[in-house]
Amino acid sequence: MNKQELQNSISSCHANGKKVALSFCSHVPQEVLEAAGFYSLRVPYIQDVEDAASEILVSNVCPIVKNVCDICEDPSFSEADFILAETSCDGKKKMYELLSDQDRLYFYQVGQGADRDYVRPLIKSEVKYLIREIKRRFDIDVTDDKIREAAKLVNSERESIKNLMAIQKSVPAAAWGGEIFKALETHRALPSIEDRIAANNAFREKLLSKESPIKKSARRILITGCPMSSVYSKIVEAVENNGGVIVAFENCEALKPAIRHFDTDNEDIYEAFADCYQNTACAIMSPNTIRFNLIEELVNDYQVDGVLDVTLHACHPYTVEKDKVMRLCHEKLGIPYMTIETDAGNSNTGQLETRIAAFIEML
Amino acid sequence: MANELPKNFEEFADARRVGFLKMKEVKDAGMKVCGMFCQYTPAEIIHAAGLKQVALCGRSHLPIKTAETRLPANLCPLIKASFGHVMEDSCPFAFFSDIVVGETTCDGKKKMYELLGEYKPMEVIHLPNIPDYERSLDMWVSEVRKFKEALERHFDITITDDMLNESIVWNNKLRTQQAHLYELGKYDPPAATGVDMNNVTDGLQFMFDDEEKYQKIASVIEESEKNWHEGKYPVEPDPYRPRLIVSGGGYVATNEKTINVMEELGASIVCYEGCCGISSLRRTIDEDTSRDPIVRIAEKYLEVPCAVVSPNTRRMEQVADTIDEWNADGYVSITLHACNPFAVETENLRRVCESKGIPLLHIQTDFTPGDESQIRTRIEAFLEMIRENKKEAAKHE
Repeated sequence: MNKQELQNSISSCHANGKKVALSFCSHVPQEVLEAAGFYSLRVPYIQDVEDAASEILVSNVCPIVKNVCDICEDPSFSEADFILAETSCDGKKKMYELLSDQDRLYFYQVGQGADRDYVRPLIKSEVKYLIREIKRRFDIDVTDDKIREAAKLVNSERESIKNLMAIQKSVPAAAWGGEIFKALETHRALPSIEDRIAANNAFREKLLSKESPIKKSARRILITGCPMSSVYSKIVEAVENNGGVIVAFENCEALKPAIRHFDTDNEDIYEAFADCYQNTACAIMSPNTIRFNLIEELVNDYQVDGVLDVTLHACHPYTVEKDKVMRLCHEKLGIPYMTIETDAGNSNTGQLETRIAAFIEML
Repeated sequence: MANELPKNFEEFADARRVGFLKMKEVKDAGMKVCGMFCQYTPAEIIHAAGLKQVALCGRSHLPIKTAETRLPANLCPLIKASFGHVMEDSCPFAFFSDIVVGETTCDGKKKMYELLGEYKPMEVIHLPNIPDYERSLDMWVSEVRKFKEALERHFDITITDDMLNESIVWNNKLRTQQAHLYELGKYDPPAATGVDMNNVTDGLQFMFDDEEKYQKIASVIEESEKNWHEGKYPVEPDPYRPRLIVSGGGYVATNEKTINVMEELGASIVCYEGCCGISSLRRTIDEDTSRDPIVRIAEKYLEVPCAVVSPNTRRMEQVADTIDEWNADGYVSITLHACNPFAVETENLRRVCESKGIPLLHIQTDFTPGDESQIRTRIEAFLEMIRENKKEAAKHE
């Protein structure tokens, strides 16, 4: 997504009388934002924003933190009404505090684990505080019924992502992984959730109607790790130009949030939030058992030949967790594993390609 | 006049070195040891459990190489050194720890503890991210209580409310006393040097006899004040001497190239803020025994002025107040390489300092040698600027 597209979306939403909520993380409860009637955009990496981060932040932070900082400071997006500052990783939560317009921000608290006694009550209370804040700032009532309706749509969007990815389970995979990732990126920017769902489903049909372009001998790669928006093109090219095909993306832009489900039949709507968001396979969770289970499941379901763990420079949650992911792959799953640490620039493209090509050759 | 310094300061400076032997005596006497890393560790509970508490924060670059076999290179040296020591069994304090407690403070530590738990019995306390009573106290109370229960299980003991109450009173007393120590810096010239104050607060982490510890600090404070009133100062009176506040997290291992140099070059560090700084010491735990002691303990620790919480408005207010109260001319934030919370938050400190009209120096460093000269040059320039400012201000008075 580029700056102009986001700016256009914001303007068109305002023209339609909708408010715009920006969020940057899978922990943010989309059901609430949809139920409030916002155009809720989970902003991916935007390349052409004005640089603000180098003034505000120290240099050794992850490229996503810098980009989110740039996006929030960029005058082009000053019309966005609501910014969800989730306290996920250190870099982001501290960056949010430095943004010049604090009035648009709302700090949404994220727990640091899945299996502790406090986690469910915390999710429930944080959702309640968020709803209360939306009422206070925008005079919008987010009722249980509205949440149930919104959750059906958010669930459908999750299903549409899972279903799109699932076409890769076949041998050979149905499409290039890069194509799927790119489509998900494009669709995510659509203002209406119905359009996003329809676009994902239509793209799936389109790919299935064609003959697979993938050779049977292509090595089947699972990509896991940090959010990928900022680096996907160089990673995808390195894998798919060198005898590999990406069969699944475990990352935040694809399966990580999509495996969750919101139980709309649950009488206590807040219990349903807890069930859903407790189940986030993010490395800020300690321990992150859900991610290990997810990787194991994906390795089996997608008949994966090798796991590629892509982490961003200075992302401590994911880079420290690599040791455990490696051991999971080697010791428990018996599957080749490689990890790369990269930033958003292009200076390491050649080096990445060499390493990834060697990894695929070995498989 | 420096020969008038209270002798006890030296004992504190040496405490960590002799602490190794003291620790062995503690263990030989059958006592149990709880290793910890952080200001968030509820000392009252450890004390009530009859455990000796010791800080395990690594300070050497030597174990980092070992740690990097399992941890990424681009990570804070304190995290790597602490983990490397445990991997190598090269830190006697970690070696003697019967249990290790950590908190989900920064990302690096929280994820490292998952690996540390493979080497030592480990208890992790989850922290809230937002330091707000209404939104976070319940979860924090539940985690603090869980920690108490974990110690009870691990050591097969019962920690009663009475034990906690007694421990709260004792730790309040110790904390108030340490705050008093930093208040020596309010004098002009200060009644103790910043290096000495740091030696005391750092050294007492490695002294295991509570009463002795208390008496020693008391005598240091008393003697320093007495000397001051008799006109015997640790530094020459100098109206242009820069009065600094130093803040940051886990930088004690860099003292030789940071705080020592500041004072060697003619500044006085009058107070410390942040991790182990003044704000934590001034807030005592409510001693009202009619209320649940765990809740009272949790209330206090929700206010630790650490950079891991957001939005950290309370710390910014404390910083502004500290600058006023200690009449500081400059602020130095020392952060370790790749420490996102303190490094990113330094920008916010800079804004507070700006509003107070004083400059801020941000030093980012790690445990390896090589950057001493560069840091020294920057400190020199910073102090020169402050001196000039003070001279200029004096002219206009």
